[in-house]
Amino acid sequence: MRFAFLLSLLMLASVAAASEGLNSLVFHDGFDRTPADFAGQSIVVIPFNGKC
Amino acid sequence: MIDVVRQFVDRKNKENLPVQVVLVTDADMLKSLKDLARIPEDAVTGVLYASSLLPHKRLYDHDAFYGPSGKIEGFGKVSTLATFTPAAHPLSNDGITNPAVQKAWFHLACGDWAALTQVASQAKKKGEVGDQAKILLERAEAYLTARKVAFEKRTIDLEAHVEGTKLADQLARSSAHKEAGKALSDKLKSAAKDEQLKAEIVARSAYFKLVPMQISIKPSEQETAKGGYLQLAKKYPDAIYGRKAKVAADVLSASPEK
Repeated sequence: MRFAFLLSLLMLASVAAASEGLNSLVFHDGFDRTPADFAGQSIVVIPFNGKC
Repeated sequence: MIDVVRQFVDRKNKENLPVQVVLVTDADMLKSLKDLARIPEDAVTGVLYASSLLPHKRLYDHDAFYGPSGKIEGFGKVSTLATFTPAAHPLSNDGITNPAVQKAWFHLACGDWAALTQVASQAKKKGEVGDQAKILLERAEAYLTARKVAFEKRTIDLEAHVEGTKLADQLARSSAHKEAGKALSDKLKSAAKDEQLKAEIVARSAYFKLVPMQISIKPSEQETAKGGYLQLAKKYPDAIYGRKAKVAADVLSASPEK
């Protein structure tokens, strides 16, 4: 029970962090895009931290 | 990992998949990643490189897949890209089998509305290309109409102004909607005379001029960004991007979190 509760909290935290992440992205080609720029498309976001 | 991404981008181009791939990294790692990845920085045929304004400890460490509405469809591992199938795009490609028209659809679906001129030219041709391009042109214009109608119900706040400006540009690319594009553009210009909205637009514009300096690897530019954010927050305390500037200044003032 406690494990399930902790797991759900972790999942919620992950979802919140990812949503925040999408809105916080700054694109290096110079366009100040918003998520609305990708209307209709699926988006795959891959954080790259140098670990292959 | 990069190989998996590169293979997916190849598949995206081969199969005309309406999906955006965004590689998020640090400013100081960007150059080496671009050299390493050898994937073009292109919204249609490549990937988009991005940084996050969030401190690293808050940057998510899962790969995330978002649906067409921008909502998360799930967390994945990069390896699942090999079998990833994006959701259907609202601009349908049903029955579009000709490779040239399919490619034009792919550009439109990936947000490159300059391709509409090409579709209009294709629609004048005879045979398979002309027939299918006519269908695509009709669907694209209907898609624009639906978005225009939906937009007309909105109050012009900052978000609507930003989105409306982009929609006006797309409408202007269609001969059927050229007038509507101009009308929307004029409506947005008129709305922007409102003092509050004007302040929001100016604050947003200033904010995005500071952002590249915030994610610069040069400490001096980060300092300039911090000073700029503080000024912006002070001048526009009630504007959306004035408040964001305050958050950004606080992040830059905090101890390094890399």
